[in-house]
Amino acid sequence: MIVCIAVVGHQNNPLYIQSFTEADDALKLHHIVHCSLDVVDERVNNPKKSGPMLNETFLGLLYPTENYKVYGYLTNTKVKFILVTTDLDVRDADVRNFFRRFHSAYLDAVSNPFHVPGKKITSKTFAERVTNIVKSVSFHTTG
Amino acid sequence: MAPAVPRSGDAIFANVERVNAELFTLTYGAIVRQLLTDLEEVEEVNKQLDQMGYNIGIRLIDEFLAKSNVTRCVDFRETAEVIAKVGFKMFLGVTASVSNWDTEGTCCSLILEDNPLVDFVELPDTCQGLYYCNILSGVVRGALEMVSMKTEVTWVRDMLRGDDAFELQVKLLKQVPEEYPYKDDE
Amino acid sequence: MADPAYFSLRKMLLDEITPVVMVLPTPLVEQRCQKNGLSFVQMLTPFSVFNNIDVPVRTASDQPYRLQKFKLRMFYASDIRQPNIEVTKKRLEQVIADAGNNEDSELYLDPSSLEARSTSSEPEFVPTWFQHFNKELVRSVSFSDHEAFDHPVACLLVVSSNDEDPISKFMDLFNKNQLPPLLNDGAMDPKIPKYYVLVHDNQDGSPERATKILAEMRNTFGSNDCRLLCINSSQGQSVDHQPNPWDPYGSNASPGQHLGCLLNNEDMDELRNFVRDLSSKDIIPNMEQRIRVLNQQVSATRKGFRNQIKNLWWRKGKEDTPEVQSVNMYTFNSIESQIRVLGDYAFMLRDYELALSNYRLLSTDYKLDKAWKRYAGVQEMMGLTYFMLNQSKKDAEYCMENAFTTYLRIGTSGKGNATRCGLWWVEMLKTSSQYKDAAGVYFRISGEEPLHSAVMLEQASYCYLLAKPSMLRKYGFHLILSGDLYNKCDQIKHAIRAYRNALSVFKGTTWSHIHDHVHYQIGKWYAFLGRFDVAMKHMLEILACSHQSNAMQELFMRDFFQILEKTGKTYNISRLQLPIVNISSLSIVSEDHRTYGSPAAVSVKESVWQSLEEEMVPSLSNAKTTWLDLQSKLLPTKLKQSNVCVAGEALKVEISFRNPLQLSIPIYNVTLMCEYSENETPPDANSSSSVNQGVEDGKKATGRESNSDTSLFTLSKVDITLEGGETTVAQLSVIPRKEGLLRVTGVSWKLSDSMVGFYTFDPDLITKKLSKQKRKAKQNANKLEFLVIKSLPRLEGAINNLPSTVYAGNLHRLSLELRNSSEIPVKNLKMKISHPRFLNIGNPEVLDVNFPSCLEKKQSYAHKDADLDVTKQSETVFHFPKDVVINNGTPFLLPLWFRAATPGNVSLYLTIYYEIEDKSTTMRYRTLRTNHMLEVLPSLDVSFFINPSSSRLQEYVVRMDIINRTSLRNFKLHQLSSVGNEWKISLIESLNHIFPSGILVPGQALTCFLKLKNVKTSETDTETDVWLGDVSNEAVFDTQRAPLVNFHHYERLHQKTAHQENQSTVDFMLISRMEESENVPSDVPTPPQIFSHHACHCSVSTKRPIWWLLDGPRVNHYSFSNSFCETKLKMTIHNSSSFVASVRINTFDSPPGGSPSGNKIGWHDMSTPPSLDDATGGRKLLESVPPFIWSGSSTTRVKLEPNATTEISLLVTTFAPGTYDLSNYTLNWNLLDSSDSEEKEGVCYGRPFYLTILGEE
Repeated sequence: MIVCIAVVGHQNNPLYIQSFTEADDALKLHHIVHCSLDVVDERVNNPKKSGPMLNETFLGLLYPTENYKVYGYLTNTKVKFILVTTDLDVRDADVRNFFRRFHSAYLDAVSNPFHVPGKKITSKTFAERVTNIVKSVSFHTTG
Repeated sequence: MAPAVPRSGDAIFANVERVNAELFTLTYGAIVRQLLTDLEEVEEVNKQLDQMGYNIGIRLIDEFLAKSNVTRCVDFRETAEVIAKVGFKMFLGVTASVSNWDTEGTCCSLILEDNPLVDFVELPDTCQGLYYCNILSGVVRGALEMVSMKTEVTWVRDMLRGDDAFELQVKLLKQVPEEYPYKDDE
Repeated sequence: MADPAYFSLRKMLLDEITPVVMVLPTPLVEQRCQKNGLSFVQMLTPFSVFNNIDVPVRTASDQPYRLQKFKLRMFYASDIRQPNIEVTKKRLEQVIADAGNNEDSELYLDPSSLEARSTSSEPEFVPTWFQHFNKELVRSVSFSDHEAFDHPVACLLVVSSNDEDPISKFMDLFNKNQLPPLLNDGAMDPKIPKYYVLVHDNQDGSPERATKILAEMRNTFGSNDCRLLCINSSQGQSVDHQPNPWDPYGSNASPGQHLGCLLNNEDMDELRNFVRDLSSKDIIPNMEQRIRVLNQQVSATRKGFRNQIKNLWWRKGKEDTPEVQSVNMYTFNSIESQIRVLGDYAFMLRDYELALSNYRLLSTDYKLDKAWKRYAGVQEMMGLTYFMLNQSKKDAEYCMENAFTTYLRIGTSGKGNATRCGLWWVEMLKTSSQYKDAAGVYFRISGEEPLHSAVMLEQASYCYLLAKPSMLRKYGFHLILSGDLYNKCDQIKHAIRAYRNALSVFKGTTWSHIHDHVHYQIGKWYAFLGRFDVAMKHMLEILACSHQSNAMQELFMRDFFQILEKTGKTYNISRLQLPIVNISSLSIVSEDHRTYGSPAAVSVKESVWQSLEEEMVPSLSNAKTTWLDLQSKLLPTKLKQSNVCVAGEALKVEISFRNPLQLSIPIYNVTLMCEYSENETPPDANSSSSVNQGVEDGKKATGRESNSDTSLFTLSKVDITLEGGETTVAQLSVIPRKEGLLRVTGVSWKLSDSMVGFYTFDPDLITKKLSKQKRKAKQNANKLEFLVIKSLPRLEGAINNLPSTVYAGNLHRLSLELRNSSEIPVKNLKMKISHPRFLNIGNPEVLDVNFPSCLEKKQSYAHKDADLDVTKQSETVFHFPKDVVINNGTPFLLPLWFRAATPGNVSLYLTIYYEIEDKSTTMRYRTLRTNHMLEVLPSLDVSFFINPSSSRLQEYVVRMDIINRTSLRNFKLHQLSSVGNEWKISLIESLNHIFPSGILVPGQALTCFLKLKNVKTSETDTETDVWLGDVSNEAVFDTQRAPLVNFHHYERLHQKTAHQENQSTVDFMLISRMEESENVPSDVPTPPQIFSHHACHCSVSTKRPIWWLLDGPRVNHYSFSNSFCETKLKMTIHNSSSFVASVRINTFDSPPGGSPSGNKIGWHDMSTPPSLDDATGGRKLLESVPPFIWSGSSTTRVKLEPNATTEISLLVTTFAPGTYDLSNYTLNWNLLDSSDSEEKEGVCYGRPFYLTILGEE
């Protein structure tokens, strides 16, 4: 199950963090997301890891914490999407697909003339869309 | 009435040169935003948009008449139909539906199911009361005025305010008779 | 190799993995040594470390090399055992606690910036006690049986020279029961080399006895194993060693007594030599010897292909043996143990190749035997050896990891070892500056035991910081984690340190959740430690936590205020975030020559006022320059532009506060901060421009507040309660008392008694804002500076009892009241009213006559009012009478007539201009501006339709439609008047047929017809009024008198339309009164609500411009005996249009077919045209109806000027008596040169006109 999805601006400032758990672990998730940025930077700075797939936006599994898995996605404008999930074995394809849909949602959100680039995303429709995407996506692993 | 009046703008729409829809939408969004920052008052922005629309309309009508060989409309009903079916399609790429005629046939509603202007748009709380698409009302008003119909165009429904469609109420105030023949020295 | 870190691990290993010497002293020896505050071991320790012992050694393969560095570890036999878990744990906690207390000092000064840290190399900011802590951790797993380097290589038996029978003492010192378990349970060889030491205390007397004993020792234990050691040689006086070699070791020394006080230099030399000899002559050679022996055994049994195979096969054979016995299957004489010992010895003697080869050999065996702990131990040593050999880093790390994981796998027993292994591994990684991996290892070391993991995590975080590129976020994250753990173990100070370091990561980022959390925790912990001032610093950071959940906000606020009150200090915080000041909402209203009657008047656009005033004020622009010039005379030029306000008059400031939280917060004493300077030079700019420095600005603020209640100026204080998320506008004011220069510097408020927030206005910022909004009354740059000028008279005016909602047409008499509070009188006042339709000035005596009866008709007033009205209507500015001077105290009353002209919301603007009498003041005149909003409800709608009456010329039938549009008020009609003298109106039928009640109930409509007659003569007593009310009292109002006539005048002006000048029009005025609503008790005499409705320019012209009348005798007696009868008729034609009309009258002899008046009387004979009858005029025709003919010209054409009337005479001839309908004529008219098309021409058919002829005999 997806625990948290976050959008982080190109100055590593949080634009949108949404957790999908009842528990009050916003702080922890903030930490996890914030921490994962280091890994993102690392991935970006030495691209030998992602050598074959150049200008690939999907960063794959950033790092596993004790009970989460954190995936990253980097747009070409250096905006990062961070996905925190509790499903422990997930197929990259699913995550990739998820991020692709999320990305399009994000695009529409920032196309809103009333959205100030680099500021937090306050759009309700965006929130709803994200929730729907998250609901629809389930990382059920087929063996 | 002339039989040659196109009942839909598809044909014309097909062969007018177009601009990318996103670019168009974003441009309009930028304009509105700029107006908001300049004028600060939402009401002012509504006025300004309407004025801009008017200025567009009084120019646009000529192109419209030229491109779509629409002949003279017999009555206001027909005019409304042409606007909805041909005009909107031609310039906005969508067709509106006409309804809510009053008894005198001087007041009707153009209903837009979808509206390319408002893709992505979501009104923030600070500018509720903004008629985001107010430019359209201005265009209609201006265009009709050039064909000697004084109209009053107001928004009845607005999707950005949670309604299910855009409804533009067009009210014919008076029809200025055009004197024929014009004197030469005028 | 030059890397210090490299040496650090090497050093660590060099003094951790060294030969152990077991010491067995007699109590007496200890007692002797204790004289120096030292135990025997402690006494020797300083000397058991050698930097250049320079002993020649040979490797197993006879390679000679010299040993330089060397160290012996001395332990009492009692200490050589696995340390107790609990004890070690206690000790570790102790270490941490001490560390915490030690760094108490630097805990309160700000942590060094992140940049400095990431650049600086490790030791500067990593707490030093980590080394110590790690060492303790390593020690905690020493003397394990699975590794040999902790096994003693030799044994010291120490006896004092005072012991009686020392020999036997030596004997029973080394007996089983007190030997360490290592020797007893066969983990190591019990017969280890022993050395016999005789300790002689020189204070016990001369060493003869000692030498004697030594002699007999020699011949009992063999000469070269015995030593004599003399101590405490210093006689009496205590020796103070500088530096004291024992300081680093003497732990349990009682303070005051300094260590080794009785050991003089000879003793120290002796000690040094003793240990040196011991190690160089005995221990090292012994070990070397041992290595040789073992090496031969091992190579005999295990080296070579055959042995390998055999060994392998043999172990295969052991496969099936149960696992349990493998625990103690490796006794000291098992080959594996020997290999291990060989390896460790070789390691300790730096023969790393040898060690490595053996470890390799051994690890395979243990692996095959699944003796995991030993396997891990060997792997660990292999790793270390690789490292010492400084080759194949990869192998080293692989081994370490292998060992580490293996240790972990075997569970709790391996935990300590795992930790140790991990620590070494980390050091190893650090040497190759793989900090990221090191951090990872630290993370793995951190077990479930919170305190350990706290320390480990913190070390990990520093590794992340040191990693290249430094991973700041992980650094912060791990610091937070460790901080929480510290907190869990009540190591608050460590927790604070960790968090504060973490803070440097999150500072300036927008990760507000984390940011708040960190500050909040630090704040709370400081508060817990009682450092409230520091706590406040952090608590202030979390005030504007609008993004937090409601519960969080409450929590924050509660703790914030708790800590605040505990601090017991008052804080002055600039730009306090709670509430948020919306600077763009700042608006300052100063009244210079413009004074405002109400706040509403302030918000009216300046242009409105100016348009009103431009007629009264000489000229607004140059009037302003006049007093500005005056200023420029008495002011420095730079101030010419500054705003002016008057001493004693309030300077109103509005600014809005926004509450970012969801909770409601009260704020007290919201007040302005002002600076006053006596001289007109402005106060220095920096005072108001320095905004950010909280504290000193705060001082300034308090200072200002203190002088605020002096006589210079007085400030208003307001208390506001802001609901969650709400924005409130605070109205503040400052009243300057003296002339000078006043500057509004900011606003301050109290969040609580001890928390004062303030906001300093930044002048240029505000100018930007103000210029952006369309602010009025501010033309110049510095909005915040005000020139205070001498106090002036200031008129205050109000319209008494002006209703807020009225019905349209309602007529009121009001009074304008003007007061002047100052001593200086004001004179020649003028007034201008924006809507003369609504408000009208009455003349003073109206005040005391009673309304509305004063309106009733009296002859006397008529003319006087009339000419007064004329002057009023001519100009729009009302000049007060010249003699009016308003002094202090005495209010001036001016009567006003009010009539609600049109329905809707109206705002009336009223400005009054007045001049100040004494010329010394900088302002000559001021204006008072008031505006009044009122809502006008619809009352009666009156409309008139006029048709010319068909019967008479110049008479009209007027249809009057009245409808009561009110919802619940009754109207009683009063009178209808035609204004002016030339129209005379009268009722056609008396009202009480159609309108008996005389009361118009809501929604009711009334239509009645009146006759209107034009009388050109302008005598006054034409009855222009029709009484519509009940007949009892006819109090007819005079429409010629004020105020009705004035209002009517303005109505005329207002209702005037373009193209009606030359047409004859009539004005009506309907006067009615409203019935008092039922709920009002009748006994209170409410003044009757008089209404007047005006309908002007009702044109009498009709659609058809031609209007005619056929006139003549109706009955004619005549005898037909002689001839036919002729009757003269007269037709009057009137052209009521505005054009010249030509009219043609056609007469037909036969009644025209399509004539509208063709109501045929049956006896007409259509078939026979009259001419034919005429020809055959026989008797018999007499029965038939005789026709008539129009005699005279059958068509006549006349031309008519506009509004002209003419008469045409017509003649009709009849031949027989009868009644004839003379309607068979038409009038064809057309208007010459009239533009509009459908009005151009037309045909009128004749109206029926019956002529009866009676025959006479």
